[in-house]
Amino acid sequence: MKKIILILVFLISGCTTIMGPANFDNYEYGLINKIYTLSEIYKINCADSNRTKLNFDNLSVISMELVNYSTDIPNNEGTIKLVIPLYKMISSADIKMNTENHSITYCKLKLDNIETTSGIIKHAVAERRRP
Amino acid sequence: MSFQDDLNKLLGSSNPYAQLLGQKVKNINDALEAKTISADEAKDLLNDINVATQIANLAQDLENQILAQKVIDGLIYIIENISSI
Repeated sequence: MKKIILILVFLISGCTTIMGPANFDNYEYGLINKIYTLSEIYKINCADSNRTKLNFDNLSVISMELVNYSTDIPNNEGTIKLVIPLYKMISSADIKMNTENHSITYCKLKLDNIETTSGIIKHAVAERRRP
Repeated sequence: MSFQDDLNKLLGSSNPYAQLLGQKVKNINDALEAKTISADEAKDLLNDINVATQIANLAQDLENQILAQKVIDGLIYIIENISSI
């Protein structure tokens, strides 16, 4: 009986390793949290177009770093599916801010959308099992 | 149902995410009426809300997977303790 239980445990734990999402990763969470926090802070600078361009450049770099980092973590498909659309949202906004005229309200609402989206991701990623 | 009725329904929803979504749409509509954003900007911002909704669904899937993993880990711990007795 004891042997059967041990085999069962081995099989279940094997399946978990293969199928379960990656464990919590401090650096990955830190990048998501940085995007969330900066998108809130940067709203103050929306009236300054030069500063706004630099701010969106920075958000774009951090979100690209996040995608590059997340894609190298094994069993991380669930998170990759979340961070790629966030990166696309930020990078297209960055191009817009650097190439087109935009209103202050648009800048604030765009940052608000980035904050909400990164907040959803942050909440899900924070739930991951600690190693 | 008019747009305003649907929006009020969303704003009065008991689901916090639905409320947040409603508030975002209201902010875009208000800005459009006040002419502080253009029609193209409004469309772009509404597209973000669609993306955020898809991400929210995917995030829920991930949270369910994480919860399932935690439950399996918990049961393995219990079984290991039983088998060591």
